[in-house]
Amino acid sequence: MRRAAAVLVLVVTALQAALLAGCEEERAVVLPGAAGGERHLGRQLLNRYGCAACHRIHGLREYQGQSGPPLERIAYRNYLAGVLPNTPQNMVRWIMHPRAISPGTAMPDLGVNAAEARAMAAYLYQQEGP
Amino acid sequence: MSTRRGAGLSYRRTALVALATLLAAGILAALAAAAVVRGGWYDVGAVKQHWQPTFKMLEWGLRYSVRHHARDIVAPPLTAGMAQRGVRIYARHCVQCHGAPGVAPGQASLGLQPTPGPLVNMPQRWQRRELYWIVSNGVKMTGMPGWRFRLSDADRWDVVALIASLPRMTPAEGVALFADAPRDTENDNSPPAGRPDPERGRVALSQYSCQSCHITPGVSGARIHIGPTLRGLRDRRYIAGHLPNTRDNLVHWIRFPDQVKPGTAMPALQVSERDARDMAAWLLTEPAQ
Repeated sequence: MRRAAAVLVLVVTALQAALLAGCEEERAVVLPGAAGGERHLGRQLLNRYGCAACHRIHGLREYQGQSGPPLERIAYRNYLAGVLPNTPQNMVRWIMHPRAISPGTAMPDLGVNAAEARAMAAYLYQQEGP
Repeated sequence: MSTRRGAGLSYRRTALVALATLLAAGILAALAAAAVVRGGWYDVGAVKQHWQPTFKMLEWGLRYSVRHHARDIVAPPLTAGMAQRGVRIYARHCVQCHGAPGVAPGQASLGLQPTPGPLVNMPQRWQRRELYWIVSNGVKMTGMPGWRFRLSDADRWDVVALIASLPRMTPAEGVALFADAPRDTENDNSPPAGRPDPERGRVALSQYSCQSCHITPGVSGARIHIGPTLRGLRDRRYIAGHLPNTRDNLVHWIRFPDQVKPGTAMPALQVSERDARDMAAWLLTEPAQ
């Protein structure tokens, strides 16, 4: 009887493991660290420029901005602003000059410089951990 | 001694009861399955979407099957030249069902269940050898044909190289390469009849394959991140970052995305005004989650 119980536990564990393995997500489009900037600085800058007033960003969620799209899963998104392939270089360009890239966009040019944009990108691509 | 024999007997009896129960349950399940099949209760229509758990199970089945069958394939290094050669093959054989960045697929593919969907996110989901296996062998019951007998080995690797390059392709480049690819773009364009119907809109969203790019409320599909999620659209202030979020603007965006935002990855799917109005009604009344 005890052996049967042990087998049952084993089967259930194996089933759970199989199911969990099935839940593994697709790979991110941009891997953490690919942007090259300093993500802690990036978090401060995202705060200073008020990005969370319009976007949902992990760790800055108290604002729950609804004007722009949520950015929590931006590392998995294929396109930026619907017009650019999602690469760190394009993210930096977009943050710096959104209106040059997509005239008419609601996203304002905030005068962000390249180093700042790289740091912000680093945080956006790695919002959770390490 | 006697206690041990007693224990042995009760063990055998327990085993027998368990076996009989399993057998009875098995027979009952088989009868129930037969009744469902024979009763014709399962809707085989392609408009009726898979139930989300069914979809999930099929998705897992696909993933593990491909992973297993492609495990011994060795991918050659994929070059820019291969991707370039893949363009011609992709335009002739793939665009009609999968579209391309900024380019809509043909109307027939939008009515398929499961929907073929775009391929820009495939390099995130599959290894190159797995893409090669899928192109070569196709996928049962999905409409994906096997190309092994129709394209040479080199041609199939060229297509894989092209697919691997899609994540770096801008929608404008996609349009330049593939907008003229042969496919059927004619759609029913009957005028709207009566008031917008949100429930019909929910079905229409699946019939224009919205779920192959957007997480779409009320439509089953994969967790997808090509376009932004449509959950909670009601509460957002802008559409596509360009238009104030009103019902009329949403209808206009759904029908003519490139007029609103030139260079957008969202293709014009020949959505009729009626269908767009019904979709907007569903998306803007669906409660936020």
